[in-house]
Amino acid sequence: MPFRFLLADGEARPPLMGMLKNSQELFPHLDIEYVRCPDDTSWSRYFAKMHEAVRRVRTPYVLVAENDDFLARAGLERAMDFLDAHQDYVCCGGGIAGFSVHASRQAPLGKVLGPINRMTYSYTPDENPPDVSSSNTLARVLSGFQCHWFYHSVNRKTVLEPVWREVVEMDPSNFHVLEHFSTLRTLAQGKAHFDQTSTIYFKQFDTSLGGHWTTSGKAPSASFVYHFLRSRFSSDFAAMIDMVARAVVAADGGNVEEVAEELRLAAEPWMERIFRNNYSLPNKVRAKLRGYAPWFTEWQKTRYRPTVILDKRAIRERLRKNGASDIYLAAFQSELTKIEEALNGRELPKFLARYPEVMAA
Amino acid sequence: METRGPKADATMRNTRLFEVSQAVPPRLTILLRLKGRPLFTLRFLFHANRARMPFRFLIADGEARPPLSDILENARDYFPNIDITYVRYPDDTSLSRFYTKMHDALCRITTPYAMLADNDDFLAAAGLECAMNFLDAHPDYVCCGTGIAGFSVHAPLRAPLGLLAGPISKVAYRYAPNDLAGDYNSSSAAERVLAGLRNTWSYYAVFRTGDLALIWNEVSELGPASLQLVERFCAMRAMTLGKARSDPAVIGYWRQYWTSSGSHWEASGNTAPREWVHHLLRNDFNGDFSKIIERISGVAAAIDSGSEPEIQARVREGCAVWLRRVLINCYGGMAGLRDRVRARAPWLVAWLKRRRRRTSVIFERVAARRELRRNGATPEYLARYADELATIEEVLTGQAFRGFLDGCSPALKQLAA
Repeated sequence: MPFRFLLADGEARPPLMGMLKNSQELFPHLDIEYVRCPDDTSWSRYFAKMHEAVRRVRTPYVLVAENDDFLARAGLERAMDFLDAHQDYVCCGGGIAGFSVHASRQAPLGKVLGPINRMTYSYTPDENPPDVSSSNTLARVLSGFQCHWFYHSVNRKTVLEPVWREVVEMDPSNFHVLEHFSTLRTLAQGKAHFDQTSTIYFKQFDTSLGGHWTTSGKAPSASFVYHFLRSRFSSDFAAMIDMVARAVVAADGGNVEEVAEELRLAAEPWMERIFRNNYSLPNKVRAKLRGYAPWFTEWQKTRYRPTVILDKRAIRERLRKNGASDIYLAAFQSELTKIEEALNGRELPKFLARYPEVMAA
Repeated sequence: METRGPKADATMRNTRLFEVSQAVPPRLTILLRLKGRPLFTLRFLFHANRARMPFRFLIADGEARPPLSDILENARDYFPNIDITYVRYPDDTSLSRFYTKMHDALCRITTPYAMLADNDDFLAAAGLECAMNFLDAHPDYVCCGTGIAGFSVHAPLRAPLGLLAGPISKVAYRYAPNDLAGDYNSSSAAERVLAGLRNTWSYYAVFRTGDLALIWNEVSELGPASLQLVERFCAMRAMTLGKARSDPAVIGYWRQYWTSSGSHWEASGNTAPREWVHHLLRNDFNGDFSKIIERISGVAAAIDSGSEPEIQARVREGCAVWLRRVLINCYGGMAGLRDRVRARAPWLVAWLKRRRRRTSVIFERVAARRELRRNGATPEYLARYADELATIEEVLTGQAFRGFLDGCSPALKQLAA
């Protein structure tokens, strides 16, 4: 991939640390900069790390990625081409596909390897309100509450850096606020574009660390209210609204309190959705099932699913319906094949076998 | 009247109206918090007067407007059988003003016992006397609750008095089916808090006056932006002050369904009803919650000589159960269905609440009596209970109350219930 990779390690431990320090030898086709950061023992440290990492970026564009996912080169290049051609746009997103792997419960590497058993066109809801590209700052920002694709979109470096600087200042105690803050704050700086004809990122299901709250690490299976009552949600939300409202007023003028109230109104359905997701009937059934038969839930996630062929076809159909060209679809197919090769081929296991200490870790 | 606590604000006009000549001075003061619903206030007092309640009534008016304020200032003429003190307060335009009013009003009470009441409900003297007798005999108890029964009124949609009057269409032995009535008699404050933090009965329990004033003083200090948090704080703080009990064999308070003003949050009383989230996003819920938990666990740890962080963690976990219920109630599966029905067929909701004639109310009354008997009510008490219910029904359906309203003031007719 013709990109620069900046690895900001918040849990630098041998043997991986040793390998990544010499990444030039291991991954000769990649341009990697490995940065050892202080351990991410708190969210504040994590935010500081992110800010520092974004500050170190020397390319004009930056995308935040996670190590359990895959990048899609063709989509990313299209996003950069778009930003090159549209200086008033600060960020460009694309489809974030979801996938999971079929792995037996005893698989030594867990969900690192295995044939893909499920694919979706969109890992997150892919709403694309037209206002994200409005020339009115408030309209753009208000539409941000419906967007879930910003976190893994291509941003101008100059735009993402102040966002993370403000995140450090704000120091939120939950990811719901963090994600929306970064979206809204980005939109306060300029227009955004969502390219529905491409996929820029493949996100793996069921491998997320699941940490939406600062207390998630201590109690990973605790309920929503457990974390909510131990968080600073109210003050986080108030700080987010205040910062975004000030940014909107700085761009378009107006009254901060009036803008803040509009933002709060737009945030209500978002917050209600979070509550409903946690307390609706299907969620209760799911939670009960998880409690009574965790093996069944796990089996459902990792079982062999022959319908994955249809999933893949549906993604291609969706991309074509959205206007993807044949050339892009061929590139997409080739990227998907490479991902499947990495997941299911012999090369990666062979590569890993050379580092038994990493496998053991 | 002797006034304790801080001097009243200059804007407050304290009008001592009437001293009932009684052989025994009242032991209990009912603190009636007023804000709106003027006709309900008259109904409440009319009933208390008719039942000749041997209590003192302190009316703390946070929205004093004529013609009601004129009537209450001359309450002696209208309600000669009860002892009323009427205090006009600055308008309850914010919760902090409401808290200050509550604390100030409680500091004015000179009887050994005090309890809170809302103007859309009714009191039942026999149950309240039982509660006071229990507290007399048990100095280690901070409060004693009675059963809080529920009732609703059948009224046509265009009834001029709304839900103020009409035949009773529903009776429930417990207003809140899960009010966690019981005897919280552990010697450990933390254990009492953990056992009782979700109870809903203690808000309308008979308290030792000093303790209730202390609780509201702290409410005023903490100033939470949600009345739901205030209720939780009051329930927990009461448990730290001593043992608490709710007597299942008596009914001391009758709460009316569907007449609550629903103002659980700062400013929610002045606007159209909003979703829980609307208020959450405009208030420091988490900050208020943390302050409450710190206060409660700090006090409980000091009393029990226990570990504060440990108590705090346990109390927080207990409160999580409460909040989960709140959220399920607002956003769970049934809430979604309810919201849809409300949006698509508001007439159905109105019919279910007030217009429907429910013959099953006969069985509900029998069931309520049976529950009382099952929980140890004596035949003498049951006879008084029947009388009290009859008096309430007389007020709700008889001509006396309507006649009283007609005679009060022509301006009253213009007030919507």
